[in-house]
Amino acid sequence: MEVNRDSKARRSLVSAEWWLTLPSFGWLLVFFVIPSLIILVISFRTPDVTGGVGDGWTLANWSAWLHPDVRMLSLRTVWVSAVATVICLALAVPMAWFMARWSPAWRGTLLLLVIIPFWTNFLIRIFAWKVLLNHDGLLTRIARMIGIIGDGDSLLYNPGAVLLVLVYTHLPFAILPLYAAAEKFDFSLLDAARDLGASASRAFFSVFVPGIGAGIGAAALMVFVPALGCYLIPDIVGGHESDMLGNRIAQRAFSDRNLPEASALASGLALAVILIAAVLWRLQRTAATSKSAA
Amino acid sequence: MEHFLEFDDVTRSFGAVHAVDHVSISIRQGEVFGLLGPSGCGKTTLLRLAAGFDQPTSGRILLNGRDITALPPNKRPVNTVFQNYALFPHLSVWENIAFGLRVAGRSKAEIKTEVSRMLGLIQLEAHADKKPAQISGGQKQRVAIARALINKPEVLLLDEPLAALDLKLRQRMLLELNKIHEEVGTTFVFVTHDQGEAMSLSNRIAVMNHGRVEQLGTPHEIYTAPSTSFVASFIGDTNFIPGKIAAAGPNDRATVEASGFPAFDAVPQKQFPAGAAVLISVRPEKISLSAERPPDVGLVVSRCQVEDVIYLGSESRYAARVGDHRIWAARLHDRDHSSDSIRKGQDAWLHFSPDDALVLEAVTDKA
Repeated sequence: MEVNRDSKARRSLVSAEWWLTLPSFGWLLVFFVIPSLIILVISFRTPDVTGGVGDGWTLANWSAWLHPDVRMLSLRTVWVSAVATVICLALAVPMAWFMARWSPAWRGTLLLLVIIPFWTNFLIRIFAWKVLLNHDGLLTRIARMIGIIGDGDSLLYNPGAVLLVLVYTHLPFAILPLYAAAEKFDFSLLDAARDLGASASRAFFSVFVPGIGAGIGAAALMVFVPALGCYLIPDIVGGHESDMLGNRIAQRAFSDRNLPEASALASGLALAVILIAAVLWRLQRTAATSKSAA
Repeated sequence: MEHFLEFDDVTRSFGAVHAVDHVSISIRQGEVFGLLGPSGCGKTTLLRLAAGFDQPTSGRILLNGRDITALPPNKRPVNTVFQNYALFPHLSVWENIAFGLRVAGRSKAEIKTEVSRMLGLIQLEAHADKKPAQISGGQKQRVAIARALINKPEVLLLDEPLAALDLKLRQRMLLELNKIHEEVGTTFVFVTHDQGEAMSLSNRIAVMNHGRVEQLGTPHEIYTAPSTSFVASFIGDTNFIPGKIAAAGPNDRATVEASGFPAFDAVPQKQFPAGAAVLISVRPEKISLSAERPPDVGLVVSRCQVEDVIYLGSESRYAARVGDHRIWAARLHDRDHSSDSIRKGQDAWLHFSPDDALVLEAVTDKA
């Protein structure tokens, strides 16, 4: 009898959980899944001359991926996003370490400082970099004074500027999951590693870094995926040779009014991202199950 | 070697608090040395100073005559078994044990033989590929010991080695630790708040309180001749009877008085002037109760009323009232059932030998 009542209670709890998550599922369905599917469908329609979507069906839009420009843009997009991810991790891992080692009173303040940039509009923050990096900007003048760049050179409108602003805007997304992992990390393990003869850096890389592995995976995903799709940053601080896939999609959608081709590019990118996320998720799940199997 | 690991006038202060206060201890090579004391007495700080996780505010730490005070933990020939074991969760049992040798850059073949040898010592060959989360507390403990011992440390430091285990396991690990020590012969220094652990494992014990060493000696010395009232009360149970020195006699002897008891002659722990207030400590097992008045030849005998009788299986404890004092007496139940006749509430005779009475300085508690 007890068992029966128990399982019944559990079942009603499960259904309660179901109802509670329903709004978020509904939100995702209405504002993410359905629009994505609509874009996917449009990618198989013919374009019409007025810039709308025609009536015919075609695979021609997807052949846009075979265009040499697009292949070059894809490679650059992956490369720039990967470099931005690596730089963000290289900055965020030590940052997470220090935040976790700080006294709890200070941690809150540091966390707030990490989050504060979000209070300012994304676009405005990118424009702020334009002010800093333009030919009369503070950073440009300093760089010129030190002699890093010549008189005619500019810090703006090149891949370096895109990378810099990408790292700047995505760093908090890397710090937050890493901090969450580092806060749970048992720092006495580092004492143990030191005790067993490891130098401070050896202890950091062979105990701390694997210890926050889940956080590193999440942080990499949080930087790499949005970077793949970003187009505002190369649009504002980048030059012609730093265009990314996002810019091509925007150009097809807004300037050329070729919505089906823009949809094919956007859908392809989205599918690639979903694939990456699925692989990472799978990896983490197998790691987690092997850890918890008792 | 007499002076193998030496703490030479070591002090560690945190602000105005002296966690370790001018401690000098010499630990012999190959011995099992216990640091015993209540929490906050400075024993763990002392261990961390020996491991190199912390630096003394003043004083020196010497190992085999070499000053190691300034050496970082990875440069000391000393390894630690942590209280929570601190096993690396992402590494298997095998990899955990191999960690020290890998860091030292030993050859693969050497690491393999050494790790197998260690797995044999702790009898965990079958669990080599498991992660720490998949093995039991006692097994983790053994892995932590193997991981430390594989580096052939000159001193093995153990921080509360048995505290995290349940009672049954603790007794088994106690024997196992003794066995491991016999096999490897390394100097063991361990910290504990459990007097039973300290007594059964150690060759010598330092009893610490408020950052200072109260007494250093063999378990037997510390139990039978505690030099302070703190040690007497911390190690085992005892009765404290406040009294005073009536007269200082020859040969370090003195006549001691306490209300409710006849004056008796004893050898105090130190020389007291006549009139000094003292604490007389008598262990419960040294106090006997009888219904008939015993012949008081050389015994301190007093009339008492039995207030409580507690039956504990192998022994019984009696609380007896003598004047203002409540005195505990203990009696083992062997084949002799003579004291079974003593019942709660009855009047009886209490007696002990003056040789079993320790006369200690009466200190007002520092805490």
